[in-house]
Amino acid sequence: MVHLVTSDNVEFVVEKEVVERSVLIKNMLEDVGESDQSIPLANVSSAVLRKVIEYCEHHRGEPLPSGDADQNQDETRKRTTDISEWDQKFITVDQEMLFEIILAANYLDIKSLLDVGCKTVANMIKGKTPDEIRRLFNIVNDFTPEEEAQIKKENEWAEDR
Amino acid sequence: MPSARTSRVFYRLNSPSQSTTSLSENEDDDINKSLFFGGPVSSVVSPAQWASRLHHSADGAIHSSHSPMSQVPPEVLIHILKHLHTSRDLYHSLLVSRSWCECSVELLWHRPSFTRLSTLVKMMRVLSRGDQTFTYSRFIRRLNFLFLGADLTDALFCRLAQCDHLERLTLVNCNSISEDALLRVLPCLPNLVAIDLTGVIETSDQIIIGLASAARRLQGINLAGCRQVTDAGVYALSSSCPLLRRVKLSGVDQVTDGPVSALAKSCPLLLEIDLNNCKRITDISVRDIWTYSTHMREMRLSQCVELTDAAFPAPVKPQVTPRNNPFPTAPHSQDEGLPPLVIPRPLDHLRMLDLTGCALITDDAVDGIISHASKIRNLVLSKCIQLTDRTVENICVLGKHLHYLHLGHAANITDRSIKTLARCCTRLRYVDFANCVLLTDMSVFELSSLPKLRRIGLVRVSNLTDEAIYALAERHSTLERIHLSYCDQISVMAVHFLLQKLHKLTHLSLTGIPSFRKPELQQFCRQPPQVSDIDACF
Repeated sequence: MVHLVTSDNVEFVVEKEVVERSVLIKNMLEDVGESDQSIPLANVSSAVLRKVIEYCEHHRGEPLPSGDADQNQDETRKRTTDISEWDQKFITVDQEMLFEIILAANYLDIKSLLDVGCKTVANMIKGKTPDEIRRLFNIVNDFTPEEEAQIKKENEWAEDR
Repeated sequence: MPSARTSRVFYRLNSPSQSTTSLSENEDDDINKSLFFGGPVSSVVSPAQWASRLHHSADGAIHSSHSPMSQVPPEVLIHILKHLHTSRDLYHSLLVSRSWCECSVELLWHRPSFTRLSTLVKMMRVLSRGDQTFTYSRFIRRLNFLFLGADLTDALFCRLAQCDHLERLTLVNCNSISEDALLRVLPCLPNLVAIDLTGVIETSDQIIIGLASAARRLQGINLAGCRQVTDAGVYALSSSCPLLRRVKLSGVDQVTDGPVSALAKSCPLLLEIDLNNCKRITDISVRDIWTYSTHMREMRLSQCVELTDAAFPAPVKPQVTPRNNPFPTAPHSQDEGLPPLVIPRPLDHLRMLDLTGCALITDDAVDGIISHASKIRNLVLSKCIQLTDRTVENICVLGKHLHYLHLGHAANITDRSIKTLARCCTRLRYVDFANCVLLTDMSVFELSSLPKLRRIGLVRVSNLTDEAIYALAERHSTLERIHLSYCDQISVMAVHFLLQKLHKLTHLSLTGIPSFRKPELQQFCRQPPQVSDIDACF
């Protein structure tokens, strides 16, 4: 069992097999070896870690992407935007939680979870205008009008078809 | 394309958080960029940790409105944007804000796609502007002009000379490009990994020499139909591009053995070679391919009519000579030319071999090939007219590896070997025995038990009767294409039955069958296919 302590000081005790889906923790355990000492995860809150562990438990036993295969998978991953049914349900959370899961997956280095999160956000972006995207994510348009006009002009070929 | 991922992502991005991967050259820029999103967005994660990703997070809090998205570091935003598939979505993302622009612009230009000339013209006009927001030409890694073909003029094509990061270029059938233009552009592309010049007829040796000397990391080249290219061009490839994996010279018919041998010897990674219709190729260079190209996966030697058995590995003889024989390779006579080709290792990578029209080869060649390359999936021996049942028996050794077999015009083969074939190579999906005139219904009975059979060619197997057709009807769950032209004993009734059973059938050819020469059936006729079709009959 592995002891994890979140940013809000909650301790989780998780099976090694489950938590090793996180490459970060896997490497830590390999470096430190087995110990009862808890691992502090100062970047992850208990609410988020609970979700992350739920994900890892569900996907327990599935093969981890190897570092080498990663390069080749990049292209295939790009093409598949489909998310499995369970994952879809899992990731149906409010925007704040969605991005926290993404950040946690990025920090903990859980590639498949990061992908699920990123695909979900990508699906939210698809088909929207720049303004709709800004409103969706509460982003400020910080282009100067001149900049915006020029960039528009330089890239407008992309809208053909 | 292993290098692209890291180098691509942060070009001119000056990301405050990712200095390890960014090529940020300008500190002032960093500060400017970080002003946006600079505010510590409190409520989300514990700000201290994630804020470290946002350089200068404490100062210059500009907007305090709540935006979880703003927590996302650039590399993750890029990861998100990579899942957008259309240029349009990327373009819209690019216009959201400066940081989104930085993360999406290179993805948009990475592989610009267009189907219309006007789009390309627009794009090229941007590349020639002096005051571009980004140096767009350096983002372009892949270009495919297949859709433009002859519309790609020299004026447009020459703009590519500045795209010096280009890695993959497809110019299939862009036959309006002049030799001058090719000479100007191709040597400016040092990062090329793959180029397809199929049908770019002005391609000359000089162009290939220039290309090869610039693109040292070239891995794939297709010169199909570039008939001006000769030995000099292919020699240049072999001496300058040691990483070559795929070389296609289909119809480059002046090429001789010398440069092909050189390719085999100096490009150890070679895994695909296409020498279709290179009629000057002889045993000498093909032997070198077997000897040196240990990774070879696909070999196309269709219509290399000079090839004899000596071009192929000699069969592995199980202990023919006694152990202590001091002259182990004595039997062959010196004056017959090339000695047997002894390959001391298996050729387990070979999946595809096309020897169409290599009419001089005999069963010995196939024996030798199969005793070394036991995992062949596609085997095309059409018009290798000397082959007999012995060849088919050797093919049986391939077992479940074999998916595709073409033995058209192997007129000597009989039911006996086909029976064994059908029982050994149970994963066959595609078989063709056109003009194998000795075959009878027996063969079809056996073949129709192949569980995955999708396509069967039996043109001019004139012994076939309706019994064969009824057998095929049993294969109703898989069969899609059947060729029965000139099987002149077949009745309308049998074919009617077949059509009722085979729900997946998409193609059935029945040219030249007397029982179908009735006006009420001929109304369904269409023009017979032009020759050159795979089972063309003559």
